[in-house]
Formats: sequence, structure tokens, C-alpha cells
Amino acid sequence: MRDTRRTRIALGGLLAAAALLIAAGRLGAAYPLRALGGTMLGAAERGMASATGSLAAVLGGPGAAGSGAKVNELERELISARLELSAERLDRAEYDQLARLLRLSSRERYRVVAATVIAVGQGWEQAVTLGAGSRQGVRAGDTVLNGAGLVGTVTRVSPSTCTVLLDSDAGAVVGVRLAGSGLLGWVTGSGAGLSGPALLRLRVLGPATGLATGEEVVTSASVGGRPYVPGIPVGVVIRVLSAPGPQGSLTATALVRPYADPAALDVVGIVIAGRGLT
Amino acid sequence: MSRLARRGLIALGVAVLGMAVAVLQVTVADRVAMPGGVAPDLPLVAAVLAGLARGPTAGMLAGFAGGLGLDLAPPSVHPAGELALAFCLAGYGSGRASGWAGRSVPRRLVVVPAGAAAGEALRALAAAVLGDPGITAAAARHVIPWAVGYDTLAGGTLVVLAALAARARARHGLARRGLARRSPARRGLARGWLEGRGPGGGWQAVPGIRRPAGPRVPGDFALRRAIAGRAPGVRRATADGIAPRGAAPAGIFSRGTGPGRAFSRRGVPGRTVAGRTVPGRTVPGRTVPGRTVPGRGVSGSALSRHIRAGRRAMPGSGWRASPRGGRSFRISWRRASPSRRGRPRRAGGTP
Repeated sequence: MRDTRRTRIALGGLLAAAALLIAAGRLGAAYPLRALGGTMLGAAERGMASATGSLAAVLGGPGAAGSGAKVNELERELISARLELSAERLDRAEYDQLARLLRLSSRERYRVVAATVIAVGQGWEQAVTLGAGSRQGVRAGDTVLNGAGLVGTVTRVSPSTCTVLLDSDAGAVVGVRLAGSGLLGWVTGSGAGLSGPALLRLRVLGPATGLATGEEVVTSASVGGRPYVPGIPVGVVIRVLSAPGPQGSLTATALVRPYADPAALDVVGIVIAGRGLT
Repeated sequence: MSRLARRGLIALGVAVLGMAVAVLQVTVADRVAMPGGVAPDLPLVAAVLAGLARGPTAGMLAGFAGGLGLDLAPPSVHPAGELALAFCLAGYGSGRASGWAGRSVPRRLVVVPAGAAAGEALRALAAAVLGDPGITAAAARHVIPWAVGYDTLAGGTLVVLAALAARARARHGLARRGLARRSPARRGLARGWLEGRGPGGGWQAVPGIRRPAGPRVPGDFALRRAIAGRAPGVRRATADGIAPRGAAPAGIFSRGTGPGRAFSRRGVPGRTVAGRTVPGRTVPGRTVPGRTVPGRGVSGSALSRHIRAGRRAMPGSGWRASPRGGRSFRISWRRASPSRRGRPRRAGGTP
């Protein structure tokens, strides 16, 4: 019970161990521990999620009435359709240019893996774990979306699970273009907290004449469709905060309401892109 | 099993438990949509409670294990070690406060929010220092109060439930052992209440308790056994607060720093026990809780009254109380006049 010398030595040891871990992570040397934790705890989370899922099914909760596979399949189809629509909506000429530039093959269909959220990021983080991993072909950098719009990108993969950094995380940066004016920019998340729907912050490079409320924001192209497949709807501009004035900054800022609600994710699709695409 | 091996095994068990709590946190607690969009941090709550129940070492071990679990469990995108550091310190702090809190539920309900607030603040601080872009003043103002509130709710509920369970168990244990009513020897045990609050906190047989000199009486073995820590049931019973509230402290006081008390209504020579324990019962329409009634002629009650009234001796009994500084007394017994010996004495005799 009492605070002895030995207790203090033990405390010092534990704090030193934690500091060492942080330092190792900074230097990129904590990877094996991360991988081990991801594999073991990921498997435990999968077990836990299936246990709670079957419990919910027994209790007759909504959306859990033994139709998980069907829901998954429907959701997957919806997401595939959404992807096709995104490709269609990209301006044809522009798309051809992009395709040539990024060596995307327009005939190549994206493959979509449906996965459910099994764990949710803790505290300040806007991240989720999905129940699909490298065994299903998921790799770091794959785009994740649901029927509503962009969800995030895969950052870490274990054999049976993967971690998705949501675009609402303060550390996430998504390259976007405005569907109407074609202006390029990027959105960042606002992080945890602040009750109500989490808004994204959009910054647009260049003249802000096209920046208007109600305009749709879609992902812009990235090499090989990673980390974001082009043309995925992200959200809609709800408020223009500042326009680049004659003496002001170079960027215009606006708030974007995301289509996908990061707080209510269940079945999502992981876009397996860049494989077999030359 | 060697001591080292046992310690290793305990550490392993704590680590596994920490990981399990972390998994529970990300798969269950964080998925429940709650007002504020924040969930209680179960590993932090576990660390604070472990510190309260078992001291600094247990608190910091639990905090480290649970924090490391959250650092490594998949959706985490922060640097590993961050939460281990923060929760370890919070568990240690609550362990340091456990001495002050003892078994007192209100005090524990002060330590729980303090520990939760410290843990959440440390966590945000560590994340900010390590460059997490999500830690903004606005987000902190929103997240930290909600998180501390939920942590307090979870931890406080557990504290109260544990206290209730311990109480019920002690009551049940006493009844099962038949300590309350059966054989005279066991009755002696049940009545040899021993209650002490040691310097380390918590109800326990305080090493400083000493039976005062005096003639032995039949049944007094129960008290001696209780003091030696060998009496089954007694320590647990008293440890869980079953010791008769307001009953007469007689015979033995703690020499520890706290207000330790030992109850024995058998520990007074020349005195038959007149107090009795009334078991709880149900009469039509209502439940009558059990209680302990100091009976007519319990010397202890008289003695305690004397002491409280500032007097140092009980006339006609041979019992003396001498102050030892603070609120503790040394109780001694000195034979009064021979003519008095063996005569039944009236308790609460005129001072």
C-alpha cells in the first residue's frame, strides 16, 4: 500500500519503458510491436465483434437480424454502383487525360471488398478498424467509402483487420476538386469533439470565384488510385469562410458537410485499386 | 513457486487483463453512441480503481497495461506508449491517494474523478506534445469534461457497487458461519468486533493494537485471536463495515495514527456481555434492519462515555485511559480495591 522506494523504482521503470516505446515509434522501430498488437488484438476484436453481433441478433436489434451477409452484399453493390457513377461523372475528356496521366485503365473495374466496422477509434482519434485485412487483399492506401460517400483511407493492415483513418480526423488530408468549377484543393478533418456533425475544412487554391455554397466536393486523382480513388463524392460546401482577397492569403477556406457520417459507419467498401492496373 | 516466477505470472496476468479491457473499450464502449460523442476510458477507470483498491504499484501496473493495450489495439493511430505513460501516472496517483481514501466510499468518490481528470489531462498533454493535430483548445474544452464525467460515472458506480457487495457478502458470511447466534464460542468471535484504521488506510487489524493488561475472562480468546488476525470472519466482518455503528468501544484502542478502535464486549473483565445483536427481520408491511444494541451494563459504553467526557478513569472498574497524543488513548487496567473484585458493576455509573 505504501509508497516505498521500490514502488518508485518500478514507476520509473514503467515510465522509461513508455518513453522508450514513444521514441522507438518516432524512429520507426516500433513496427514489430505494432504488427504483433495488430494481429493479436485485431483477432480478439474480430471475435468480440462477432460475439456482440450474435448477441445483438439474439436480442433482435435493428440491422442484426441474421441478414448480415445480405446487407454486406447489397452494400457492396451500392458502392460498386457509386464508383461507376463517379467515373461517369468525371468529365470525359478530363478523365481520359487523367487516365493517361495516371495510367489508369478506364476499362478496368475497381474491385470492392465489403467490410464491417469492428472497432472504433478511441478518444481523440477518428479511426475505425474493419474486419477485412491482407487476407482479403487489402493494402495500406486503399480508399474506403460507403453508400453515401468517402469514408477514409486504409493506413495499417493486419492479416484479418485493417485500420482506416477517417477523413474527419484532424490529421487526414484529402486532395479534392470542386465538381462544378474544377478548382483544386484539399479538405482536413476537424478531429474529435464538437457535438453535431463533424464538418470538414476545405481549402482551395487559386481564384475563389467558383467557391459557392452548395457545390459538391469530390476526390481528385492520385497516382494509382491511392490513397484516394478519383471522383468519390466527399461532401457539399455549406459555408464559405474566406475568399482570397487582393491583400489576403492565397487560399480560400470553406466548410464542407461530409456525405458519410463518421459516427454511424457500419458496412463500408474497400476499393482494391492499383492491382493489375498498369 | 519462486517469488520471481509468481511476480512474473502476476505481471503477465495484468498485461492480459489490460489488453482485454482495451479490446472491450474499442469494440464495445466506443461504439455506443452517447451524448457528447465521448465514451468512458475503461482502462483509465480500471487503473484508478486498481490504485484505490491495491495501492500505487497495482495502479501503475494496471494503467500501463491498459494504456499499452489501447496504444496497440488496431484503430489506434497515435504513437505507441502515449497512453501507457498517461494512464500509468494516473494509476500511481490514485494509489498514492488510496491511503487517504481508505475504505471510505465518499473519499473514494473524490479520488475517482480526480484520477480521471488527471489521466485525461495527461493524455491530451502527451498527445499535444507529440504533435497530434487533433488536440485543439476547442476540442479539449469539449472532450475532456465529457470524458471525465463518463469516467467518474463508470468508476463511481463500480465503487458503490463494490461497497454494497462487500457489505452483503460480509453479512452473508457471518450468517453462514453461524457467527451471530450459535455456539457460545462462535458467538464470542462474532462479538469480538475488531475495527481499526491503520496508517496505511483501510480497516484492518492494526499492528499497534494491543490488548491492555488485565485478567482474562472466559471468551476473551476471541478477541485475542481477532487481534492476532487469526479469527475467521471477524476481520472480514469488521473490514466491511459491519462493526456495530455507535456500539461501545471497549478495552482496546489503536495506537496507530488513525482513529482506530477495537470493539469487544467480552474484553472487559468481570462483565458478562449484555449487548446483543438483533438480526434483521421482516414484519408484515416493512423490513426492520438488523442492528446491534449495547445492552444495559456494557462496561465499554460507559468507558467510552467517560473518555469522551474527558475523564481518564472509570470509577470502580480499574479501567484507565491515558491520552497518547491526538485522539488515541492507551487503555490500562489496574486492579481496584479487592473488595470490588467480582462484583457486578453497573455500567454508566455516575461519573
